Amino acid sequence: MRDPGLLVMLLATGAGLVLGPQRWKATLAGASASILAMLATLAFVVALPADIVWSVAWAVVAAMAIATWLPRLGAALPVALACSAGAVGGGLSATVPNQLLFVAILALSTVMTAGGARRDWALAPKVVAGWLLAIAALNATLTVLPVTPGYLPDHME
Amino acid sequence: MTRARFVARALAPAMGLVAVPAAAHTGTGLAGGFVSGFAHPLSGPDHLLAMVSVGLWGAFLGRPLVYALPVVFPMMMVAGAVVGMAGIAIPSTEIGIKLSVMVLGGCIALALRAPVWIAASIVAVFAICHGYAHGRELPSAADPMGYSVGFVLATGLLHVAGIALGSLEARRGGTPAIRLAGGAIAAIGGVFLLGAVMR
Repeated sequence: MRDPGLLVMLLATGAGLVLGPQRWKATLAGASASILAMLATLAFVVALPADIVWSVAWAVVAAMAIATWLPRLGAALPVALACSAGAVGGGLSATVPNQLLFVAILALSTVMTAGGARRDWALAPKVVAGWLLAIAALNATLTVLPVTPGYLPDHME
Repeated sequence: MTRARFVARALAPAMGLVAVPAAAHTGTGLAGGFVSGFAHPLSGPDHLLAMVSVGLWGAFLGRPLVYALPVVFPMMMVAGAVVGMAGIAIPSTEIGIKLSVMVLGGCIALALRAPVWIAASIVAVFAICHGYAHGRELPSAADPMGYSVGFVLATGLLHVAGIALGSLEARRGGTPAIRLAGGAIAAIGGVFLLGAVMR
């Protein structure tokens, strides 16, 4: 079984990276939109096919990582990406019992990352974005690899 | 921005990645996979020295390589990991890993100021070797997502550690100390390489 917690955290980290360098109002709006999108998805959307949701999630992580490197981002794109991250995070968390915990993970990770990326629009967010892109590319590729032993159920599943 | 601030800025968002649920079986599940992946670059002195050297050399070369190398390396490492996980054989990756320690240490020791494309190419080739080893050594019961996050994060943090060491260049006597460290790394790499070749 794939645990969505780590992917929700990666989505939140990406959202924080794109929101951090924006003006504080845009950062606040983006973070709020992300959380609200996640809550709305959990409340109103029925469970979607897991493979599709996971693939979309990795695409959103990659998009946020790439957006971090763009010279002129504006305010709309980061907010839209953060919103997408929240919505996808909701889709990932739809089948888990402790959904509010995942909302808290999203909120906390977004705020922490945005705070860390806020002061200087310089090197560190770009480096961390590189890590995110690498992780997203690897995990998106895993879906087309032969069965990896790690996803086979162990005796507890 | 000073290097110390850079290190702090890189660590702050990365801290958002560390909270994972515990698992009863060590090495299994998401948490076990993350721990296994995180420990893998740290468990081998060859991996560890090479990752730190990438950061150190990047810091020594300055912009844009100070952030380009820590971006190029994980990206190409992932490419190598995919090849390893797919079971495709790449010959002599162990020799490539040992060679990376010697070459990167040598670049630091010689204060080699390579053009951007050459430095990136050197790092990219070695990154594929390291990534291949991580991919091939994925524990059979570990969650690949947790494992991949773990080893990319550990690699990145080692790069940041190298960059932090590179900030000593600005201090009195810093450059000779860094070059001496590079020489030591190259010598250790040479010993590793000799051992790998003679096996």
